[in-house]
Amino acid sequence: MTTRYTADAFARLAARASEPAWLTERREEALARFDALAWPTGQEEDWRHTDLRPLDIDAFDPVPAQHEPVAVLDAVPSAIKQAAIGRRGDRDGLAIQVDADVVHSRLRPALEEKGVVFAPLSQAAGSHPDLVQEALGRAGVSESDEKIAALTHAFFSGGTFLYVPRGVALELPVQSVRWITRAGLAVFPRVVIVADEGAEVTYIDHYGSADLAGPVLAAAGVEIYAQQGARVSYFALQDWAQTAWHFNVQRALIGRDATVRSLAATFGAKVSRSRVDCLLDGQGATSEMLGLYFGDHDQHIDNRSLQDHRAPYTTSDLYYKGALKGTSRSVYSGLVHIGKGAQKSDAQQANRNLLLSEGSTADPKPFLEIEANDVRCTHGVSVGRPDREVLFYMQSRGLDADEAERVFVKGFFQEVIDRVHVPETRATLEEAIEEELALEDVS
Amino acid sequence: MRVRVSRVDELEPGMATRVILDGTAVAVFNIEGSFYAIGDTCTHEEASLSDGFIDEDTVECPKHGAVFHIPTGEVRALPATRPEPVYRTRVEGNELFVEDHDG
Repeated sequence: MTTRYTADAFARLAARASEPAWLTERREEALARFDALAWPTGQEEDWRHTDLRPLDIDAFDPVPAQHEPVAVLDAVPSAIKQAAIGRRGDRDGLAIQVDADVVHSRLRPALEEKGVVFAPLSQAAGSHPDLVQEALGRAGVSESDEKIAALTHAFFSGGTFLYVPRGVALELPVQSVRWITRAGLAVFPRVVIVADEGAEVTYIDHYGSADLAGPVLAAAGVEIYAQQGARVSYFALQDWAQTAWHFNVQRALIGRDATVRSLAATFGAKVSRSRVDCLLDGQGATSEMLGLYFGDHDQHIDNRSLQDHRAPYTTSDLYYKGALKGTSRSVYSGLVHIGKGAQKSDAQQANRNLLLSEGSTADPKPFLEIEANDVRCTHGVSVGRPDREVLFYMQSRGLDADEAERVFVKGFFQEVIDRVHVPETRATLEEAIEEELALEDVS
Repeated sequence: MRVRVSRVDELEPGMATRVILDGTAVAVFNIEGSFYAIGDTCTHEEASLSDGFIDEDTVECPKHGAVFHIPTGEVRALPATRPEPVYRTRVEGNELFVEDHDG
């Protein structure tokens, strides 16, 4: 039993967010599940490469000091504002969460009139209980990550709920920023996105922090529901300070002819474990799952994925690429599951790793489980170093060795970046890669 | 730099007009007898705030509904997220002028 993670603790979070009783009951159920489940020991296949023994959750305070609302965007501290809007970031919705509190949340007024709902989760649970109740938790959780997810569901703070009504298409991205201000905190952001029939939305989720003097714990839970014909893009950019423990459990339930495109970009945290699952539930559902990570120093980056084809004529395409410096390590493990009824499905799964130092390692593991007999599945993983011939060629054209490697790495990532349809997100990724390349290599 | 806007009595309370100051479009407002000037082009997309809807001390862009606070240029409603620059207004006799911060 832990001492800090109690019903009293989340009661304080619930009280300050004025959440309805039914939501607090959900927290109670999650806490019971959390208490009943054991921590992974490292013996489980899903946790063999990520050691949780050094994680002492009691070292982190799940009820951080409260931050007051900020009425005007221009009054938000510049580093946080920069994370929220970048250089050119016009938005249809914007939510800024500082530690456990959403301090600024806005939706374009015209969208409110069309019935779009965008609010902190606890608030939406009060104002639109039917919408939130129907969605929350419906996508379920992968068994392997249930312990962490239960912790998030019990102690979530701030968080965001987005509902886009039938046929409404948002032109600009909706953005949330989760910002941690100091060491010793535990923050559990929760995002629920519901796109009704034919709705369209792009959601950018940015995790960032100041340089922190010590560790923090962040465990996010993301649920995406794309109803018939809806199109949802969800980009998660994780750029915590390198003292963070980061967990993410993301589930997308994709209906008939709906499309969900996701991006999991990992630059920060000391230990990052991200699970992205797509459940292709309706005929003709499509999922694109992109991943991009750049490890340095002793970062540990663990990506998990599930492409679960439950209906015929469903398509999934997973492409994760990562570069590793210093003694950083990447683990990728993904399952493509094609159910009995999922004939004519098409699944692709690829993970490419580029080792830029002697001390870095990558362990990719793809799995296929196919129960149907008329499908197309491809998978491929690789671990390699920059092609010496290409580097030599570039040097013969006048680039020095470092510059040649930088060009090579940028080219390596470009394939993923080119598939991101929001120009400013592409620019953000390119800048983050430049920053990583500029870091001194510590092997 | 400075540029003449109009005669003071030509810009009535609740109204706005547009002038060019050193190549930049500036929207000038009269709010209950006080004059304010901010960038005229919405920071979201090409649209003229001087054609917008004035509500007390805010102006709503006619194109996508972004709202700016006239005295400070701050964003008050999405989709815009960046503030408008603020310019000084000056009344000399019956003449209204706008100037940038270099005077």
